[in-house]
Amino acid sequence: MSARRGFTLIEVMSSIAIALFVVGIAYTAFQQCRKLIVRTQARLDMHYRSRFLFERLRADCTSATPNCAMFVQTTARSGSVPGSIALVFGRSVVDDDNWEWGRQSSGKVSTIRWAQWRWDGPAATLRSGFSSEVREYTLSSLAAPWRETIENKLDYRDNVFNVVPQPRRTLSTTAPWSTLDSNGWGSPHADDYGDGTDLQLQTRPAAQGIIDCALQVVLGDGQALTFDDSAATVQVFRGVYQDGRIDSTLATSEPAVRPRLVRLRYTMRDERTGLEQDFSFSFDLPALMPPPGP
Amino acid sequence: MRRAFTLIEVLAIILIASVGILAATGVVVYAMYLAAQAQAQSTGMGTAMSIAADPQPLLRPDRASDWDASQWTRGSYDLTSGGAISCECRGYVNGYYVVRSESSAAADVIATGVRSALVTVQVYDRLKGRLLTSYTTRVMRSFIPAVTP
Repeated sequence: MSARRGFTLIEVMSSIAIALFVVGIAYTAFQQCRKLIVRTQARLDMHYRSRFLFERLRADCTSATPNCAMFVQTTARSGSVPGSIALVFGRSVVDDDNWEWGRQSSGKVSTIRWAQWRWDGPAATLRSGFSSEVREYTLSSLAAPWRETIENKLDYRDNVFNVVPQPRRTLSTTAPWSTLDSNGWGSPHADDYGDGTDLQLQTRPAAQGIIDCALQVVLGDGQALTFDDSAATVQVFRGVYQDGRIDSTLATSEPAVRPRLVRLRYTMRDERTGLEQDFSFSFDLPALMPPPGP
Repeated sequence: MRRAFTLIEVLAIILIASVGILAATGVVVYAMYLAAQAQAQSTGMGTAMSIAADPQPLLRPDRASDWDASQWTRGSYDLTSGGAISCECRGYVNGYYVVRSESSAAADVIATGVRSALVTVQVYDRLKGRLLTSYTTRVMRSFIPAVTP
């Protein structure tokens, strides 16, 4: 007869209780780890997206041309619906497609394109884009005197012309978009490339989950202008001449010095975890004078 | 015939369990370390370059106290001085603890009110205080009397 016997009820119940306790602790630890991993992934994802924004806006700001106008336009928040902020400036871009000019000049050719950064508050999206590199105009409404003076008196209406982009030093302080659209060859046309309408079409989402945003433009004399969605504003900064002059006659709202720094602040939210992270970056703009001290 | 566990058996079980728990904990800690490294590689240098360009980052109004730029804004960094000057700003930006130092020696004076300065930015892990990245550059500074802080 064997001396072994089965477990007693107390032993079995104790074992079950201990096992349940251990499994409970392990499950909680596992859940906490899982939560931590998800939050870490979300935080990393936000940082990666922010790095993309930083690199891209830095590249834009570094190549901003001082002789192009710049403007900021904001729309106001309506109740709980956030507004928007648009930053538009001219930047030079190396034009690798222009091989003929490159061959003639034995070097790279850069063209001027309009760049836009726009925070679309209701969509919680930060968008960016360039206008097309060639300013292409459709002469849809050429006035009669112009038509008469064109060589051979041909009617060039509805033909397409390519025009080299030129820096636009001045913009309307009330309606800069319409000034960007105005090409001097006729009325703005939906098929015009390289203008304000084209820039709006070329602006695409760069980052989502941007639930709050503010912009600050620091001028050459240290004055800082803040733009957010607390009010609707339009601010135009006039471009300088080649020798660094700025027009002596300016609109009341136009500063007499060029911006030298752009500060961007935004709050990014991860939809899965609800995690929010503030980011703040500053970007030097090309300037003719060294940045001021305090 | 029944007997309890011996001391050696109990100690062996505790040892094996401890190794397992330590290994699991180590994996989590290492994962956190890798995450911090990855974060530093993503925006750490961007933050350093940004702060190097601008000692007064734009922060949310309710978080403005996260960044101490008092040495910069109170005028102790006097560009009109002919001697050596320095200032330090520090605080929390983009989830990091950042220290920005700017110094200019007497030999860096180019003209009255115009001088070059050496800027060093160090970015630290917010939780562990570990140095993640640093950035050093030289900038030009000019004194503008009409400046509005």
